[in-house]
Amino acid sequence: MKHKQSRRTGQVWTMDFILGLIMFIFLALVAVRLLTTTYDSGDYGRLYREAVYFSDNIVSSGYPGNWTTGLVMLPGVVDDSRLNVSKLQQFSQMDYYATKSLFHITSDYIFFIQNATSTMNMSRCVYGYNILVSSNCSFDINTVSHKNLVRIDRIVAYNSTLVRMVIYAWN
Amino acid sequence: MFSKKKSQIAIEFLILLAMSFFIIISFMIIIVSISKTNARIQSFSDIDDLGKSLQQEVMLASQLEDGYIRKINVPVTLNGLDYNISYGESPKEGYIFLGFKDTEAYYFIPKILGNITRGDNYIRKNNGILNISQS
Repeated sequence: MKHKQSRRTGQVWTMDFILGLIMFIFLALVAVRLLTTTYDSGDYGRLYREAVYFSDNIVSSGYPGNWTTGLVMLPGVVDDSRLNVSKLQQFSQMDYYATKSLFHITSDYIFFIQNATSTMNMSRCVYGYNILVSSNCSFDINTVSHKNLVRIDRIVAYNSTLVRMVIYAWN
Repeated sequence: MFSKKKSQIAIEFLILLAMSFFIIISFMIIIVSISKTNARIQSFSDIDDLGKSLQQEVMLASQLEDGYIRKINVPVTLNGLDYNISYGESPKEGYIFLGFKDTEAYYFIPKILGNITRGDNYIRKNNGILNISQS
């Protein structure tokens, strides 16, 4: 009888309790992980929407239609589906963070123009975020740290040929 | 001896209960914190969507011909939450101000006459001037 009583008291503290606690903590961690994953997918959705919004506006005339760095509400570098090099040059002179503020985007971005074979060097090779670019306009997008990355391609005309405007956005 | 063990079990039970309570409360705090952050991001996203769509409306109207008229509905609440909307002017351009709790956002637009309020707004263009009124 004395032996039985002693076992009953011990059961509370030993294996049953430790096993229960481990299972509880494990399930709680799984629940927190699920919540965190849900939070991440919201982040990606926002990034994608911002990337689409940015690409829609950069492939437009901007506002005002004849905008300059001194007076601009929304910059755009394409007029009637044709790339406007002078607007592109003006855009390259603007502060990166000022452009983000004008577009109301929190994600970082770059864009560049690509012909059939390589990245074209207009006023510069890559516009937007200051990424390391080699003299032949090649770069590695993975050098910037990102959690989510979106790529959007838009086709525009330039000197009677079609070129690709490639936009990367990330957060 | 038996009574002493009984009280020991009661104390152990209370300690375990307190530990469980502490762990559950800790996780609840984490969950509430995450959902609050999500709700805040969602609210800002709603404000941002509204600001951008109003900005596009006004910019588009300014590029169209005289006689343009369009009714735009600015929601009274965003997902059931109150917010502020107003129009302001800087020397060069106008802007729409949107405010929600501690979040504020400005969207540049061409200069207009009148003000933007929640509910129905009518945007008109006459003699090259944009006018927004509620009737």
